[in-house]
Amino acid sequence: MPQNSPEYLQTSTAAAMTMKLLPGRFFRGARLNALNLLLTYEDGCKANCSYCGLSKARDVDEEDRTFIRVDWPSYQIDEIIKRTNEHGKHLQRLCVSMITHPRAFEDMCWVMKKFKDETDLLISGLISPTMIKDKKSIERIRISGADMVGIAIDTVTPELFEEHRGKGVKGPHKWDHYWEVVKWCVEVFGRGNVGVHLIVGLGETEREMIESIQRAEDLGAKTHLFSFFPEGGSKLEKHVQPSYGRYRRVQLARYIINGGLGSLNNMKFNEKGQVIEFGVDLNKIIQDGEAFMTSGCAGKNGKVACNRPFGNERPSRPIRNFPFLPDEQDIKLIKEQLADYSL
Amino acid sequence: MIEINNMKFPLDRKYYKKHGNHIWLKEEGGILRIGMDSFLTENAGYLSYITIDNRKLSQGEAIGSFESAKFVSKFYSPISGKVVSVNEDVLNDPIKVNKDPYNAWIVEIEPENLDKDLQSDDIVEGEEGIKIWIESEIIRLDCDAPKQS
Repeated sequence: MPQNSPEYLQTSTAAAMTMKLLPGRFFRGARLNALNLLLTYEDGCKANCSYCGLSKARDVDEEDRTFIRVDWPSYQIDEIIKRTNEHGKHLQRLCVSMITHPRAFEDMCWVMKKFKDETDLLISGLISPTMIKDKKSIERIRISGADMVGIAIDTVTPELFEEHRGKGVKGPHKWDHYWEVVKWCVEVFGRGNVGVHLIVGLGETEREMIESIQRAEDLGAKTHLFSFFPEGGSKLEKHVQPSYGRYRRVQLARYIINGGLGSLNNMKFNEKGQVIEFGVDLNKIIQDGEAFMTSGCAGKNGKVACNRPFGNERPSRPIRNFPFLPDEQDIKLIKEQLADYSL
Repeated sequence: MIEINNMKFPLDRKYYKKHGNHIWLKEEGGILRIGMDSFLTENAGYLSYITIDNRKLSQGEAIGSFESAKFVSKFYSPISGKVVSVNEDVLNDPIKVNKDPYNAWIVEIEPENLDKDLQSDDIVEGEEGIKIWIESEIIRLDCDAPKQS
């Protein structure tokens, strides 16, 4: 039987584990603080992004279809709500993600309203700008119960956007429209309540990535960072992940810019576009470790709720986005990684 | 077979608990078969990788590691000896351990000093011993009962 939204939703593996719908616990005692739900349709996402597990061109059996590295099993919405209320007392937030599908906008609003009415969670919407035609639609999202929104721009230059999401893959997305929607969202939700998702490792330089983080900040949006992970069967399945050095420096720059501690203007780059000076005293920032934790929508306590444990790497590999505060050993490794400028 | 919190533990084998291990061992014709119990599979989640890193083992030494989407750990040998067989079928498709933990054995070990090794306090057997051990593990890891499948 087709399992279409809004009656059915896909949940991340971490969310399904948290709701006791799948067995398992998190390495190093991590705990998921925000549920990620994805709208699902039998005919799938209409986009074709080169790196995405949901791409319609992806050459993979349905049972092997991962998204952001893991399985996303489907469950009935009423079961998810029941389990959330039973097992999710510690949860801070819920994120409903659109995909590029003609029904996704209406269904996202309906799902948000239902969770708003039936749970205590704060609600985010991860929106697909291609399905958003005007600012009124953004207002609808707010009225449906969201207090924050995310926009996955993912790539950081118009050329990379075209290559990975637009004409290069016969995809429907438009760079200018994505940034226009970011502006609408800031107008509706307010500064600091909009997150721009960016993926490190899709062919950009550190400088280009940090310029986009600054651009979003100047518009009133924060950046939520992801590290590229090659999805099997996707166009980029053989593309390597960014080095740890590169990812750590971008994390640090994001923390400085989004935290109001400094800006792009005070940073210096080498001829390869790698950041060599951050324009602030780094010792305390690095030692505190918060810069290397997952960036995402905040919870009721003002701390990041969307902490996505082991979302960008296998648990046997060094952590990229820490779902908890890094410990002393982690900080020692982070310092070594930050000093690595090999490409 | 006993059942605790929806997890099953056959009584026809022994279990090894050192380092928080949940390894079963069963002797067949002088060879020890080693596998993972249902407490481990419930807590690790669906396994994606199992590696065998060591084939000449002392008791308590790591045989290899297992990994699921969100968890990774080593697993340790309950006895001294050498690995004489590896279940490639399970290594190629580790979720078989979740589906049928007590038939999906992982390695076979030729023991060196079996009688002595089985005297260890870390070997658990019998209904009462298994019950006390698993109940203490549930408290240690603050587990809920797994969902009924």
